[in-house]
Amino acid sequence: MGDLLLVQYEGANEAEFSARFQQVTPAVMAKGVEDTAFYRYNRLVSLNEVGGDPGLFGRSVEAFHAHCLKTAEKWPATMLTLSTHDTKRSGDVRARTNLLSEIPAEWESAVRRWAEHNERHRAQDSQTETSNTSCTRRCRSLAGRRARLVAFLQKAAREANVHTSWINPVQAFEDALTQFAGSVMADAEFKSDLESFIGRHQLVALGRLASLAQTTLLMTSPGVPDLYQGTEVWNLSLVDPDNRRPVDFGRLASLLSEIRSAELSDVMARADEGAPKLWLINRLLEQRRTDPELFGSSSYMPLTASGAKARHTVGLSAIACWS
Amino acid sequence: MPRLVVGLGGDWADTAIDIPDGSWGSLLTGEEQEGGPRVPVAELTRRFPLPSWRGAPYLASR
Repeated sequence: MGDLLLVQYEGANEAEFSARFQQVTPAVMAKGVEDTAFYRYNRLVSLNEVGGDPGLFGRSVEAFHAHCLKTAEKWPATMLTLSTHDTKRSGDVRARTNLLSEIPAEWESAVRRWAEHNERHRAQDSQTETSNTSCTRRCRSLAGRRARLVAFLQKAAREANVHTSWINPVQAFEDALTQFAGSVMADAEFKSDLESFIGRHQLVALGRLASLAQTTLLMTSPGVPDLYQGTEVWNLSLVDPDNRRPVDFGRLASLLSEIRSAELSDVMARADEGAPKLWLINRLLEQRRTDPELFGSSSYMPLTASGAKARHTVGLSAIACWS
Repeated sequence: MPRLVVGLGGDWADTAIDIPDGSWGSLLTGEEQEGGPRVPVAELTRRFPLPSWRGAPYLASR
């Protein structure tokens, strides 16, 4: 069967069988795994990503280097990306969510506390509630745009296909979900506790640092970087339609012209606007344009760290580019 | 490049990285850095947390 599917046998019937199999299976996988299971299984939601595998909980630095070396050898012009129009959560949302994996005990205790507190707002299902709680935390940082959160929750609930679905929407459940989200977001006590948690663990600043780290890897690892619109600065978007909102290109262009030649300290002072990320992308892309061979993947070389925090480093001499 | 940044806690302590010998220029800030064994990461990240460098080893190799 394996040989048949890999078109190792000649013949019209064999070819058609293989083609039909290839046409059907991606759609089955996408609907079954990415568009259903990924909305039910809310362990660490940043892993529930298109093309990802929630069973793979992190990677070692060695595995990352091995992957890059293979890419440099086999697919040096492959597309690299962190966010697309189809990602469930933008790269910056995932960077921030990933921080929680480092403080599992604190996170668990906070989620239990919030779940108990918000019980008064009537949650209907524990799995959906976990998703709601973590999403509420993220969406809060987006200035609490209730409409965006409600749209996300409705889609997530329908995709999960447990209490409501696209084919058979259950209005009563969706109304209750909307009501729950609105009440939670309006709960001053919860909001205060949430903000305290975010502040205590410096999640905003560290999320930005992680964003810059993965952006550097995007720009310098073997392959060709692809930037989704609006991700030139911090971008905290959920699944579509949230990630297909209009982008204020005028604002991005102004910001770029203002920081292009600015002192680094001035760029860093405008962190809230996303200036450090835009500045980093601009610098690395300009280098790429000036000297494409520098990023040509031809001599990728991992660098070795040592010392107390060695496990916190990923060093790569991507063609003499240490990052 | 930092990873697991919560545990890192903003302090690289004595962490160091081995950089191939030669003179390296920052892709970001224009600073220069000499290669060598055990270059302190705290020094490399002083101005910007994500340093990228290019240098003579690369230029000589192509």
